[in-house]
Amino acid sequence: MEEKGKTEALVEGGTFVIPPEGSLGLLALGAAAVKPWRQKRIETGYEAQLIERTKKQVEEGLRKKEERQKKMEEAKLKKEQEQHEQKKS
Amino acid sequence: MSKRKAKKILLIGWDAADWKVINPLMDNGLMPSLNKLVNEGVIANLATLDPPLSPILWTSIATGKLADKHGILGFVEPDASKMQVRPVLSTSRKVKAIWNILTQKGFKTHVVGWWPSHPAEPINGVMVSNFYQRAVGAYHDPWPMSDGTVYPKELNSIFEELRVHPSELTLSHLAPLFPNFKKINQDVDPRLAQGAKILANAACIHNASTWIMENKDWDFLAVYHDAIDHYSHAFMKFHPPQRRGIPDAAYELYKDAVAGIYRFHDMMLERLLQLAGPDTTVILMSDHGFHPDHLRPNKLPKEPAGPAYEHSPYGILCMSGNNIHKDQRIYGATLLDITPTILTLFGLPVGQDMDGKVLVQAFEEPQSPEYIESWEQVEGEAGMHPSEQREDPWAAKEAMKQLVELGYVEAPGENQQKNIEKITRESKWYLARVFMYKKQYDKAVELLEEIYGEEPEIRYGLSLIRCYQQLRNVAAFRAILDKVRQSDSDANKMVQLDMLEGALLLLEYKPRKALEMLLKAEERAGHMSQLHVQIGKIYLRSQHLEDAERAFIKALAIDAQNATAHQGLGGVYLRQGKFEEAAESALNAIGLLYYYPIAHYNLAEALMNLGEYERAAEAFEVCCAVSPGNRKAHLWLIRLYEDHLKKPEKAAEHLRFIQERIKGVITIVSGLPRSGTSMMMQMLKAGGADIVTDDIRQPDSNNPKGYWEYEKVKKMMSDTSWMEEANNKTLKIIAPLLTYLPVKYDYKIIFMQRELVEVLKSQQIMLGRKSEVQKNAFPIVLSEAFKKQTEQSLAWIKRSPNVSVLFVEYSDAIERPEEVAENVAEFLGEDLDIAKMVEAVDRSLYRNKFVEKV
Repeated sequence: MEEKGKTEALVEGGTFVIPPEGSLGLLALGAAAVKPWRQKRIETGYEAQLIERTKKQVEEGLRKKEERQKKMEEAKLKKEQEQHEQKKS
Repeated sequence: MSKRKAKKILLIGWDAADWKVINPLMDNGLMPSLNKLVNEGVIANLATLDPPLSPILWTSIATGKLADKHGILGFVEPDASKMQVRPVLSTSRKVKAIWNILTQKGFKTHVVGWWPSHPAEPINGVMVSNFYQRAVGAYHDPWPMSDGTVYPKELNSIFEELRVHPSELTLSHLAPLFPNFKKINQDVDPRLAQGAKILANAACIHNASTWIMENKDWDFLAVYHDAIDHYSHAFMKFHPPQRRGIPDAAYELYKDAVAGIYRFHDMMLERLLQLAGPDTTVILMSDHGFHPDHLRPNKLPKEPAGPAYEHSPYGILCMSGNNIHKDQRIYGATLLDITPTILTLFGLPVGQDMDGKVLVQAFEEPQSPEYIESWEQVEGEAGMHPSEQREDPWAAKEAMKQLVELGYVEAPGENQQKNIEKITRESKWYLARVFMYKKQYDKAVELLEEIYGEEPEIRYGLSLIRCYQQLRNVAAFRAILDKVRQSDSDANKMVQLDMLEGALLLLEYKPRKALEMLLKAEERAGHMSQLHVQIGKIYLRSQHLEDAERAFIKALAIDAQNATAHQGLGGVYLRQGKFEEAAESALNAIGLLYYYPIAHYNLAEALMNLGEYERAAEAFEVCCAVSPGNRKAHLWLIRLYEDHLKKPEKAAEHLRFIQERIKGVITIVSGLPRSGTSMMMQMLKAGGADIVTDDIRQPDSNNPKGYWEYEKVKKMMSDTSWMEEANNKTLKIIAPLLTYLPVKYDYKIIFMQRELVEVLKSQQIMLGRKSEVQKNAFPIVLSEAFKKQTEQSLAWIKRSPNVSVLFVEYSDAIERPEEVAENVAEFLGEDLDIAKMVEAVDRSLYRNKFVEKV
């Protein structure tokens, strides 16, 4: 991350800061900025972190989804049991 | 081929961009690139079309044609082969788009993200379709590009790499749009992720277009961005000022999102302009606006395309380049004008089958655009899909349905079938609305009757009612209105229905009742601008100028962009003799809606009264150009050219036009003798109508205020050659003679009705048979004869398309003269002096009143 703040020539007549996490200004430069930005991410290890993070997010998402489904099923079962007991009484 | 005026053209589409959001941002220096473009070019409110649905609109922009011609009828269409619903495709477009025409003429042409443009067409350049930016799966997963996303496909790998996945965006990207992002609980609130996805999509499109600009030769590049529209639908409810019902916490989190996305577009614009260079003509536009203020709807209807109710009717247009005026505003532009204007800029002829026009006001040098019959017939490679790939999905769906019915293909599941039926109905509704936009109400009625019959949804019914209103079919109007009211208990709560009921009462020439209805609706829906306009119009017609002024001001306080309210207010000022204010209001109306003949007329009248004869003549000329056949405007022009501008040849031109082209309207006061016709003539005379009379028959004790007759009327059975003398004037003709009226004119007949007993009694007295009256001898034979004559006259009225009629009860005119005077003024569509009309009624003359014995 020590390279953060370094300027690089991206477009004619201008140099721009390429922080590995990117910026809105960089995004607005369009095609010329995409490759250097991704390159910077690889060089700084940011890309690996990003992949790791998104994998975790996906796993976390799946886990939460399963939990939600489980909770819903439990609630459904509980409701059915209550209805059953109500009928009995 | 005429001279090419533009070296290169960059067409940038910002879906839903609105000046009302942009102006404050530019004023605060937050959109510097657009501000520069505005200062260096022309700007306009770009009128949208109906229905305001993006795929339909962007196809109209790219073709210069309405949807009945281009064939794109909504967001989705049937996939005939699978009997499923799919997003609308480029293969469904029936006509050439601007990129096809330019390809045909050898221009290097590129298109990015246009809606709909998938599959990409084989044009003379690169096309990146509207399926390009959709991310599927997580960042580390493969992200394949659909077949047909990029043309030529050799460039697939380059464009694949240019896409930005939402997961690549960080808080550094999102913080300017969501400064309080740290407070967003993303576990339960998906809106930040949604914002990131839209931003990433915008970056994909921007990368594709900037790559093309840097790496390919180009004459024309069109790029379409939908992020402003998506952000507006998601976050406009949080845009300042904070609305009632928006929680403080949510407001703080999302209030900067809309401004933020506009600012990002300005940053992208800066890059595009940099790459385009100074020789490029730039056209930046949106397909519609988006209410950013108190006009934001509180609730959206639960219907397909319901979010479109958040759209406002004016998009933006900004155009700059060589030969384009600097820092000027142009008027009357619509989405349909973009393609004809681009063709002219490139020195190419405009198709006469295009519905738009060339925006000649934008050009520094006067232009006379060239035309050809149609580009569709011009042979040559136009970069369209081969004909076997192109299909009308609606026709294909019908063909598939037939195959199912014949048993060759398995029927789709129930849900699939229902979905297809639903979108088919929706597309027919959209097509009907296109016909309504084109004022082809008969065609619209055909479609609407069909879909309303299948599914009586209120929105279909409302469209149907509006058609019948325009067709002045009062019976059908009433029937559908009643049906809609009965079909849904919620319908009765709808203010639109009350407004339509008011319109119906006006069609029946009952302005007072219409006003009562609308004032009642106002108690429930005082926030509706158009309701106040309707109220104002009725007050204006009945000369209640202060009430009218108040109503129009109320309408403008709600919506300052309501052209009809500006126009109405101008009408009030004109009648109040406030000519400067009248001119200003008319100009405001014209600025919003250029094709508004009455606004040009009022402007002209105001200018004439201010002594600005040259400008008045110009405004009358525009009025005549926009609405040929406005007799009054031609007459004023004749007077202006003769008396003030000393241009007799121009006056002669207009006189010739009136004589040769304008069919006159004659107002007839009719009924049986002694039914009140003379009284009505007195009322009209007092109100300011132009009366035809020769005063040969002098007033007597039976008609102490005169007969208002014209001797030549008596010879109508054999000679009507004199009728021209009555053209655009008012004439009294008794009912039995009506059938002799020549067909070459239009007639407005005020038909007086009175109890036959009273009529006969009055006639007997007039004939000096007072003793018979005293004996109560009722002339039965005469009565039958009059009845028959009246029936014959009424039957003739009914079958005469050039005749409209207002029935007036004599007793009403005596007892409620003000209401009758208002009805008459409404019927004639003229500014009559109601107070003087009322004064003309002498109740003491109601001497032969029939009182039924109980």
